Amino acid sequence: MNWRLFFILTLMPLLSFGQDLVVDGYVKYLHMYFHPKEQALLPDMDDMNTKTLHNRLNINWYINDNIGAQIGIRNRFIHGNLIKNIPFYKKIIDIDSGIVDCSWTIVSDDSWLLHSIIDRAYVDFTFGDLQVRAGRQRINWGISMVWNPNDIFNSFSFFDFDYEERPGSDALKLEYYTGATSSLQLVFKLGKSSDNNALAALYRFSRWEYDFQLLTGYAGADYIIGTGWTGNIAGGGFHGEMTYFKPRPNKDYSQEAFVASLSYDYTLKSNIYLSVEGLFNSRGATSNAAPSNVLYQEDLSAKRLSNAKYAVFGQVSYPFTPLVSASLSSILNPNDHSWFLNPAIMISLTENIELMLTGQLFFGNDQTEFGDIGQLAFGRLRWSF
Amino acid sequence: MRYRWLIVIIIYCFTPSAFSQEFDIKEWVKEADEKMRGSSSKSTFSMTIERPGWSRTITMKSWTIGNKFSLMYITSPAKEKGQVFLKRHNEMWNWIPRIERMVKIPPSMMMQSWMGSDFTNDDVVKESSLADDYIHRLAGEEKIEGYDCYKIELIPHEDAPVVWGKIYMWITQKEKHWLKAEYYDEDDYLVKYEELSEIKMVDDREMPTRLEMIPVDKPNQRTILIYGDTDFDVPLKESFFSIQNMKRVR
Repeated sequence: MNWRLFFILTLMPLLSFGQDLVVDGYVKYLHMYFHPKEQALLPDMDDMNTKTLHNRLNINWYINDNIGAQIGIRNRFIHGNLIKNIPFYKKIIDIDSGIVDCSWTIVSDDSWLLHSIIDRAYVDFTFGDLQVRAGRQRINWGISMVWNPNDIFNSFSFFDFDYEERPGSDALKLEYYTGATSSLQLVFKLGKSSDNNALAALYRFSRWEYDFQLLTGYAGADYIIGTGWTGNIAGGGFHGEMTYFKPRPNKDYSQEAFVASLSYDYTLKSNIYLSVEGLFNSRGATSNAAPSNVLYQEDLSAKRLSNAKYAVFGQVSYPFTPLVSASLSSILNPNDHSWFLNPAIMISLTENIELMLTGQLFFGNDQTEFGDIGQLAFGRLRWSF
Repeated sequence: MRYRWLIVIIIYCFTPSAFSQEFDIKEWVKEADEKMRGSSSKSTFSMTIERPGWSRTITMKSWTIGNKFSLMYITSPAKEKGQVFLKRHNEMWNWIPRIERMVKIPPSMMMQSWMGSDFTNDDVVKESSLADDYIHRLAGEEKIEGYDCYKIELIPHEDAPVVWGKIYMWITQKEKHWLKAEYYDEDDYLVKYEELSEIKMVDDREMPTRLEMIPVDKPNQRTILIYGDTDFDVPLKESFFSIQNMKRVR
């Protein structure tokens, strides 16, 4: 364990004496069943499964109205033949892309492992209209539901539904509130190497009942400039995000890119919610796209939200009762015609216990974006506290 | 009888006219509505969604100035805790702290159920004013729970930001307690009704503290809103209702 982290962890409870300490989080049990697609040239793979006991702890420490701190810990016990069958899976679980390695596989065996990661550890100060947050934190500049070209710090993956918090960035964030609904953010993120650093600013403001944002700076090897908005057309939500990436000097390995997403959602009087979203990625493939790696997307970034040049998303969801809701989502690659279908049902069992059943079904020809993956089914029980 | 028309005019002038009656009813509605809200307020609420066989309760803290500005912080259940809703005029935002995301709520979502209840987002944050956005008419006098009440009909102005075709309100004649309301759609069908009860002292005033919303086509469903600790006419500025405070209140 890194000494800095040890210092913070030891000191926090001591200093918090007499202060306001709030702990919340959840315990989830996730059962995954994976039926891999049979590949023509490879030996058939067995069906695989994992059973995950997943705990999240958020420790919030409110020192006074202007100073606070948070630590977020994600603990998972994963068991199943997938760990045995995919040897590098263990390695991929135990990755921390920040400057301080806060990821530990505490114990493991052939078919199971116990892993912990501290994905939030920050202090937060408010000086009037200025807010300063230092440490590991989630910086979310995304607007759209599925693809977020503006979210240059932590890319959201629609497939990784069990980790909506996303990893944190080791960063210093200054946010100056210029009005009731406008602010200027300046973020400096430190990565493992200087190629993973980022320095960027975002200005957000409201006008004509729209929220707009403008961003610029550099992220990794690229200069970036982008914009995003959220507003409404005919009562439905209308959102867009676009970012242009241009390689910095001496970063020849990087290439320029333009990534944009556009979406529209509408809630009918019957409470049926409809949403469509499109993605354009100038660097993506128009022929068969490389398979998306849905089990572990370590190379996901705002610049590489999809391997394809175009992607289309659609969703219908409906709350049958306040306790039971269902949704059907789909992603289509219009070039190689591979597609993804995602039915889900959520049932609230008690005030704090929720059951979710969902499938991730991938279809398509061999050597297409979604054609070589197979089908996954999940059952999840969640207790929030 | 050639002066009959003159007598009519004189009588008309000396009795409470249609104009002043309308003005009075409007005042009644305004005072009954404002009593429940104050010019500004800071309060805690609990909202219970009741269905046959189960119920769910959501608790929250709320800050308001009139019906133009409000900020609501969810304190339970655990999964929703920390979510904040901000309303400024007719715009509404939702802050979801666990993913650090601000969501702007589009108008089509305003008529959707608010957190699964029989209230819509629009009920929760409505900017329409029961006094200013409607034409009022005294529709009768009725007794509710032992109170003598005026039954008042409210028809929205054509350009009012209102989803109802008509509302009936029952307001007690003496204390100006709002005890009941019926909401009709544009085709004149009764959609849901509200019943208010448990009249208690809240801060400096006596008012109903329990509000039940019952959808007419589902009589075994209801949502119950109960006022907790409430301070009225607190010093709040418009600048309090900001995206910065959405992230800071608790």
